Amino acid sequence: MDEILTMFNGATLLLILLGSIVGIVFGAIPGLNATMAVALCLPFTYGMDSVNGVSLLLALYLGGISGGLISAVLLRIPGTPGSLATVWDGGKMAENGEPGRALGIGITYSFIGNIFGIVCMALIAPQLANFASRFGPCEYFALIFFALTLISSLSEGDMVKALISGCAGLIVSMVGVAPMDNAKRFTFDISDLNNGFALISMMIGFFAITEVLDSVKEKQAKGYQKVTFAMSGLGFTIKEFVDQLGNMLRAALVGLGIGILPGIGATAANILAYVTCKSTSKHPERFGTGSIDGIIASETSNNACCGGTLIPLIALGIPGDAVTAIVLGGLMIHGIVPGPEMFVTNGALINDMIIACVIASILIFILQFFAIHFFVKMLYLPKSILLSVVACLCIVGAYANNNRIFDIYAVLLFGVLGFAFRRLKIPTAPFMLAFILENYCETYLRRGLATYGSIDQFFTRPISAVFITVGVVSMLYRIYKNYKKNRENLAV
Amino acid sequence: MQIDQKRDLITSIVFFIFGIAVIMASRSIPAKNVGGDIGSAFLPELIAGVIIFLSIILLAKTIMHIKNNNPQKANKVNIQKNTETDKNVQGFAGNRAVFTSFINLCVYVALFKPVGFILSSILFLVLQMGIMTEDSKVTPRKIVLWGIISTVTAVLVYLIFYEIFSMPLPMGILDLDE
Repeated sequence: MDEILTMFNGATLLLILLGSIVGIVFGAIPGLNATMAVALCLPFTYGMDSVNGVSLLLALYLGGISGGLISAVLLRIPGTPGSLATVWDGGKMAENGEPGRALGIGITYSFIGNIFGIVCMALIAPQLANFASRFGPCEYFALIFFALTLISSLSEGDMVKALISGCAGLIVSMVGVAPMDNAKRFTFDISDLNNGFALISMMIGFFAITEVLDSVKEKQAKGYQKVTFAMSGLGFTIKEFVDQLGNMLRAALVGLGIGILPGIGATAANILAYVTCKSTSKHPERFGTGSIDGIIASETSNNACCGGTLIPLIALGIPGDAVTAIVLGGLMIHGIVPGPEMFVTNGALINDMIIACVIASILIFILQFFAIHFFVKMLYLPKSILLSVVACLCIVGAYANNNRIFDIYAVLLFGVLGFAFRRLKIPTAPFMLAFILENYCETYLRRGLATYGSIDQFFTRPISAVFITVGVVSMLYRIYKNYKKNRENLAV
Repeated sequence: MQIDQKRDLITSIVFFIFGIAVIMASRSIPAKNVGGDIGSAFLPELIAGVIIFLSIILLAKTIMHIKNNNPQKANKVNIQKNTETDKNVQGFAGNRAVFTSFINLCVYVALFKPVGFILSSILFLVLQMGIMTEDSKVTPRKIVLWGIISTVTAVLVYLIFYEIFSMPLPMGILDLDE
């Protein structure tokens, strides 16, 4: 109770509010993201006391992840990589004339995801962190391999094309210096290629540039479509909420699970939750058509992941992703060393962090909810102006991410690739999933092989064996189902 | 041939060539296997092999589909084909606009550093708004409006990055210090 009263002083609340607003803005603008928001505001925390400094950073983090859904829904361009999967249904729902409803659902389930992650952080952080610490290279590889097998469920009709798309994503992600031995692959003596392609370039190219080019084509074909605002309450009914409980819980667990495993993060979490919810759903055909199911899967998971990434940070002192690595720096500047001892030496600060996260989540929910009408009004701007400005912001965002001109060349390359994929009806989701996961997959596979000397360990360690078996069996089952469906179609 | 089959045919041929290119490029990856490690060339070669295999399956499937089209189906296909052709004719202007937009983007990216963010952005924004304008009519009033919006956007973005984020964007020819 004392901690709650401490947090409710004017300065801390104001900082959390400010952090939430700045975070949402960074999250909503494609190219800018939570990591940049936290990194840029870190120096401001030097002069603050530890509670205020950490509260500001956490609000920026949560706001940054939550804000990504705004552009994902309204512009069909994810504001942050963590909202990538939101485009597939949120963007479609907006396109179907319900942008307000899509935002309402996204904002509410972002809030639920945040609270789920924070509650788990508050109640079972040490236990979850201990579970995560059992993961060695074999377990990590098996988990990522399992995630890659889900590519087959991301096909929009033709599984062979989905698999080709996924394999292409793996190859493109391999450009640059290889893990373990630092061998250069497909760099063709171009030094900029040594670091490979940035995720942000791929994301902006595939979504933003493709969207601009598609809009040009759409305008020539049938003129721009009028936007309508349709929404009541939070955007969903109580019945829909009850029906979606299972979906929500699955997404939250996937998000939390990915979050507690250091190094993976919200980008993978939202895609994985989306494919998991799709493949376990009774109505997988609804995904990708502007359904509530897809928005819930993506938005619940990426926010649950935030709480998850803070768990290994607090309990083990290991940051879960780039943002928490900067938060770790912020804690260390204030003389706080996270780890098992933090529960004894700085227990009060942990409580403060939890309360700051809860307050930030509530503020983000309120701010975004009351701004829905304002956000949707953006769509009333002429598309020629809106999309041109967005394209400009995306190019700046891609450049600012690493201060590299090469990254904006890559945006163009991925833009062309994304446009060609759409024209050839090749699903882009498998490409993105594979692109994001390849580096982890190869690193852990090769690390495991180098550590244990043979492949046996991948099949004899229980967690690893379970993930690999389930992955292979479920993929074979999906291939068989697809084959049967194709034969039936051919017969008809 | 239906438009979907044409798409699949192109996809299979392009990715078949891509797979072979990856295998050839993988040959130049140095092999430095440590312990039980598989080396850096193994996975690209394996995945390229899978791409080639999948492209062959897609090609075979497409050829089978084309062969299975009986006269009745072919008649249906012809109707669809005509519709598609109509769409293609309608979409020709669209393709030209897409191409122009893409060239505009390329020019923007090429000028980003040498000319600087502000000037290249103003040029890009004015041209892109012109390409995407709703009624395809360019009037002097519109050009002035686009000019104002573009200039305000470019200067505002530059100032936000410079003043708030302490991240100066390239100034190019406007950089008077150089």
